Amino acid sequence: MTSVELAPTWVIGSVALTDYPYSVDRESSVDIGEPAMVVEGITSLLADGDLERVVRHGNRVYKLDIYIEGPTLGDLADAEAVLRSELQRTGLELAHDPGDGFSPVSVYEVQTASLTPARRDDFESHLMRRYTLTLTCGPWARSANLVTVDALVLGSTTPVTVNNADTVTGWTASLAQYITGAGPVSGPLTVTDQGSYLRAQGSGQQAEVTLRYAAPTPVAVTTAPYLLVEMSGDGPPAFRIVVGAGDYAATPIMARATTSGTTIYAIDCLALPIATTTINGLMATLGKSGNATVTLNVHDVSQSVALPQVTAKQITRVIKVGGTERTPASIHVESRNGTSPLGLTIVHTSPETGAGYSPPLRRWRTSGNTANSASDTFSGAYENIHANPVVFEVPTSSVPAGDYAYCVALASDTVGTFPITWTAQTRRTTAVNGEAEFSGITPVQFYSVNAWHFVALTPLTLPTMRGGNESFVRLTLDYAGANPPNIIYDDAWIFRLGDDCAVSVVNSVPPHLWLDAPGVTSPVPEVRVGTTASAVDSWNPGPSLFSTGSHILNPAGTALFTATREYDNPAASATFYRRYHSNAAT
Amino acid sequence: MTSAWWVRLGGTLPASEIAAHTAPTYETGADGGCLSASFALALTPRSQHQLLTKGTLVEVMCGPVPMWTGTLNEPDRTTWEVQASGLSASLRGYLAFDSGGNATRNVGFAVQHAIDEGWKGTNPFGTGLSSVVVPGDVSGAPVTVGQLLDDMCEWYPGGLRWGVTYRGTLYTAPPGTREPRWMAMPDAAAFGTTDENTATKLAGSYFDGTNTLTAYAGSGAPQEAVDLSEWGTITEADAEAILAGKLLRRGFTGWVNGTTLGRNQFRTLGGTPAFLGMVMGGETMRAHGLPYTVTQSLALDVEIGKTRYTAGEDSIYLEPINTAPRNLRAVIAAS
Repeated sequence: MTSVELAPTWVIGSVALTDYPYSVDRESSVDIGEPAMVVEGITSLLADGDLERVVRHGNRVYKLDIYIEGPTLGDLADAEAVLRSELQRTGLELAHDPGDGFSPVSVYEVQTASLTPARRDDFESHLMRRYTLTLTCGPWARSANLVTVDALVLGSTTPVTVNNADTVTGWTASLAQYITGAGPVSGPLTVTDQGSYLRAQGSGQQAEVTLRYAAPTPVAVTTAPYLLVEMSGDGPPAFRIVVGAGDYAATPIMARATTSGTTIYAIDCLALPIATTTINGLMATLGKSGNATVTLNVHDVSQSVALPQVTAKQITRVIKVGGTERTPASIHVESRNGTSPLGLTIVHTSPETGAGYSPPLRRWRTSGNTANSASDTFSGAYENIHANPVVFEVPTSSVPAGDYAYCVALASDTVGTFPITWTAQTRRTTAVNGEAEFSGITPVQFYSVNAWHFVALTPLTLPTMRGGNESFVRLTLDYAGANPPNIIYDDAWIFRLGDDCAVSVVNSVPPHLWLDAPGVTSPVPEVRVGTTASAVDSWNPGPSLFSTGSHILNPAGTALFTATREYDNPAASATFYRRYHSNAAT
Repeated sequence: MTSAWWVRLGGTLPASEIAAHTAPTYETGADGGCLSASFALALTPRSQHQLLTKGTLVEVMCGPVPMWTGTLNEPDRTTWEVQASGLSASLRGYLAFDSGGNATRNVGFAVQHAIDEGWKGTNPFGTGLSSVVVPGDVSGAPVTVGQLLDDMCEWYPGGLRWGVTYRGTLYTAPPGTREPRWMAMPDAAAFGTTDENTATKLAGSYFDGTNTLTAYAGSGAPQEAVDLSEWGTITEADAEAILAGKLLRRGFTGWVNGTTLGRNQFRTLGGTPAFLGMVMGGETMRAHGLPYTVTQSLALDVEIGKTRYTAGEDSIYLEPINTAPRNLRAVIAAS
């Protein structure tokens, strides 16, 4: 066992506990405590065992014994007074450096501090005093410095072509099938050029077609990690990404149908089972049971810094957080030019699951009324919600099971309260999945004519029914009453509201919006808006605050959705501390 | 932990802007809709805020959606434990007058008058009540709007329940189990049954303007006598409707216990773990694994009488309608 010379330090506030006249008794143990688990147990009346789950973590108690020494007992009292004044400050932090020269500093956020003196004659006569310092701290050790995840660079959300699939160069295919008497057999398949796209098609028992792309040079994925693969054919393929000599399963984090009948799959190359900065190609595989013909078409492969924006005013991005524990974040949204107002602004955070969930619904619209394009809307268009109901159909796989709010932006040409009906249902192709739909009527009050109103229609449990890849969640929007006024919608949203999700909605936002994380100084989140980046003129939005929440980031990654009605491409950045169980890591 | 929950005061201000507070706990019921809510603020006895006074609109919010709506009771400044009552309870603090200030049995007039007098709920569509005139005379002391709605629900053909939604909207709904919205997974829930406080035939004495007569509803036993004299002068048909409504609202089976269910034990009919915060009293749940001989069913459908939920928790307390009092506190409350 190797041994190293240690010079650990403890600093509380601005007082270094390991510098004269203070010292830490390292021989009696320093008790760094542990986060207290708060467990919720559910006892089933009929089944064995209890269901237990960690609801949250309570505080940790950090204890250390310290000495104060000095030339006179008066100096000891002075040093104690300095320490005591420091302990009474709000926002107190304890910083600990383990002292081998390699480990980063861990910071503990102190809630309360008590100082317990132990008087002994032999200590007094040797001009020293001993105290036990008991600190009640937040549960986690955090990094000493804030981490800022910057807003995406302007224009960088435009995908860059990796291969436009116009020629067969670089593409190969194979067909696996089951041949009676011979068992599973695999062989090459010809890739055919269909003009603007490539096709691999094969037939056989349990046919399985694989399309392969080998990049002529490695494709760097560090800054543009999202590989966008536009495909069509007999169904959603399974993807593998080639890295060096190996290939690794990659579940798309977005599958968005396009109006031309293709589907764009987005793969996060930084979330592969292997850490890499470059990739060498990809594989897409689709199989069918029985005696079948399988067709796979590839239309385009490109890469992007962000998941493609839903519309110019609605952006989803994933924030890589790091650390091991969830951490509150301060989120700053500003207009791209720094001066134009943002208008109604929506910020939603949710743990990234890879399901490709994103709140806006208009892209999933399948029927309704005549849509009119308009640049001053979230979705780029508006549409009447009657005489036909507006229908959205979202693949169930993109709707992680849980709690949702169904919201919509509506405007009416008549002031008054009008009944808006909504339904939620899970379907498989066109068939109802044998369950009653959730439905309801929400009375919506329109305060002014032809002005957009942000309306929270209802809470929902989605998907209403669990289902396989073929099912979709069908949501509708309609007007229920007689003599309908002209009610139009811009976009509708389903906001996840479950664990570690939060949604903030603020109206009339000037160029800047800050959603500040709760911390030691304020135990609750704070919302501010302002006209300058320095925040000197910032103010609380007051009645313009439609929704607030504590934006907690998940160490594994958080999806951040930002929508601003009045200006394109909102810049959203997040600032947070990385949090760890007991010691901060690098 | 869910971080989307917050409390809104006065329709605009997050309560956390005043002080940090505990997660709110709220109750809903088949009768009344939103019942009560409570949370505690980290304040000192010297603290004050203009919104922390009796009558302030309180909304328990999850993201942009109100999940519970009511008004604040006068807070206890020594503890800053804050209680709020649902808007159905506050309708019991308004008398049933019409706009001319005369006692009325017209439900629409009475609710509108309460709104004009400051009741914070809405009745946007009349909920079909605007022209309903409940039998009974107005010559005696006026009743409260809440009492008038109770009377209407008892008398209305088929019976009704009334309440105020999480959005502050007055509603009526027929009593009894319907198409289930939720299901308890097998082995998750068990409900004991009792015939206590149940009746299948009611006899009610009423006054027809000249004589005191008796009307009947239902059949079989147990039978129970009811006094309808409080209604004043009513017809025999009205008396029978009132008795039939009473029977339906009481249900035919009594239950002895509520149950606490976790998110994975309590799901939509389609099997998705429920958004526990949106479960409301009056909805129907299906308890799988509990064969029920009364309805010859392999699963038990119960009308949820009461829910109690603390924002963000992974479990919810549910009580079927017609739960018999089984502890001292409940017995005292019921008597």
